[in-house]
Amino acid sequence: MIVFEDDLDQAVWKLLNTPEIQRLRRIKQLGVSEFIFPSATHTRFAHSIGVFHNARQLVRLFRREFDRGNIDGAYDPHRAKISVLAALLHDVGHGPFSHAFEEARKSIAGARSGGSGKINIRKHESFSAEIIKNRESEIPSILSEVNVSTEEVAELIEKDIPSDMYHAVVSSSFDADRLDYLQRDRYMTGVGAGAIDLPWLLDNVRVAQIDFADPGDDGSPAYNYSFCLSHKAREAGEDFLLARYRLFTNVYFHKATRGFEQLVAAFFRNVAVGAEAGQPIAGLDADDSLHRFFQNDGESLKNYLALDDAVVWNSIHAVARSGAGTAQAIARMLLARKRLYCLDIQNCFPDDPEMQRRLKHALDNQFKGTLNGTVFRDTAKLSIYGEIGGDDSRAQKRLMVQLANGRLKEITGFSNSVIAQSNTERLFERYYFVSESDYKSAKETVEKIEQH
Amino acid sequence: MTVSVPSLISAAGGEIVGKVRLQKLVYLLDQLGLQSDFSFSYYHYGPYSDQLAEAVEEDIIFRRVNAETRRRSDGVPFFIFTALTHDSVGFPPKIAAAIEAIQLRTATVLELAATIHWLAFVEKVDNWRQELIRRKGVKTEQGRAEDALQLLRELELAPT
Repeated sequence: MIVFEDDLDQAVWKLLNTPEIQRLRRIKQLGVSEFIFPSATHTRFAHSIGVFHNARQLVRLFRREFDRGNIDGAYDPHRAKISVLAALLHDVGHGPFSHAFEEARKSIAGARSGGSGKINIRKHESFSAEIIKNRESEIPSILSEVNVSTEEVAELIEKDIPSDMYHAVVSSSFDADRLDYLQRDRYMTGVGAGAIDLPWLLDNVRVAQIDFADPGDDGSPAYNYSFCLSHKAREAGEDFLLARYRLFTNVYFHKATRGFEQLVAAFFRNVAVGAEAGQPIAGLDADDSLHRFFQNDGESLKNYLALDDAVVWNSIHAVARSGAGTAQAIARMLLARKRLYCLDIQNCFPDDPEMQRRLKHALDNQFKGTLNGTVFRDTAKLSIYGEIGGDDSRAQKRLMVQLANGRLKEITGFSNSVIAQSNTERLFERYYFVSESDYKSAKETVEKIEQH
Repeated sequence: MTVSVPSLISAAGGEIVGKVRLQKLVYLLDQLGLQSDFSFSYYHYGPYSDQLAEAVEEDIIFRRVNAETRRRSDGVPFFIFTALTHDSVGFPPKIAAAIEAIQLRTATVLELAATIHWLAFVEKVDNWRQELIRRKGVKTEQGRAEDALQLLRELELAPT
């Protein structure tokens, strides 16, 4: 049970009742994962409350560390308050169907970029910041009741690297977000793998100065305070990272889930193509929220806030009922939970990267006319620090262990680490097919490559 | 034309230290007319191309590039990329000179330089200096932001 007690908690209670946060009740935390894990119907709203609860616990750790003399200076209750509020609000800008929506927007932006080589989309963190600062909402006035400015909260959500130790509550190896979803997603999906020893971890979380510079820049450090882990909890830390890794392999990267995400993304793309051309979408009203958002210059805050899972499902229903062509076929597949045919590159040639590359090139060439139409390619990379979406794992997400002599060591850097191997990148590449004939044709290509 | 990563590594003196350095090198060279054909998007280390990352992985698999893992003094891992094939691709003098200037900087400075360029010219942020500090925080300290801007001036890519 989460109890709301002091002034800060009362502000949180008011924030929970704003339309912007209530919207998160209509966005599922794991998007289409419930098609595979039927009980995974939990929402971004429940997750946000959990993150707030964890943030309250984490700022108490700061008090403990100051009291023990492990950190120089004094506890800053104002910065602590900001981090708790930022934790609550961190997902307020999430779009519908999370991953699928951002991926679709990226591919739509790529198509609209005119070959400039630069794909610029606003990420959900940017929408979160704008929602928090929006003077038309109640959020700024509620924050001001506890003497916190919207800028102070938005900054913590948008920054690429932490500004101080209080920022670590929102973004670090032990941030409040991660501590919630590791437990919530495991519980709600029902997967057995991925248990963590949370009380032991929290008892052994420490604060230390960590080098955020690129690791190739040895000798030119950029220090800032963040969380690390006492050496006594090194094994619990390995389990913690492995738990996350298993959630990715077993849940987030599940091949059927990723296939449904491809279908949802294809539905978004179909609506976007028509909207950009200024054409009506068969089955959708002229003022359909999704259609409006994908029009040129349609990415306004008002249009974004009008979207949630329920709105998108309504559009899917409408297109399935009265639409036409590919969009209608996709909508009907989603409503009937009809899976795409899947060819997993890594499963075709296990542990043989050369053959995997040859197959990928052959399939790209074979289906270049239908890729993103009726054939979809999904690529994801995973390391022990989670999905790799960018140059490297974020510096603040690295798990540093504080040795008995006070020095820090990255957790996979121990010679006897049981998770060091997982620090290398693991690829997940799948091709998805609407038609069985395309799938069979792809299987023939696998056989041909095998024979050569 | 997709640029050959081994030829870039050779032109950079035979090795490139770290993924961030490799990514920002190609991004900055593209602004000077390299025409790598890779698409970039903004991630937490600045402009990044997953197509370039995929090309590097493929070069490693087919032994055109070697990626050796090293660790910083605190155990944080990073890669050193070396070319195993030696293309005789000659880059135009402007690109070759830029590679030389870029290789003199740390990867963190390159991250800042590429981010400044992205903020000013792609996101078109008016106050890109303030936005850089807001996003990159401690990385902009100790003269690194100034060094990044100086690099952009040398490359004639600096915003006004």
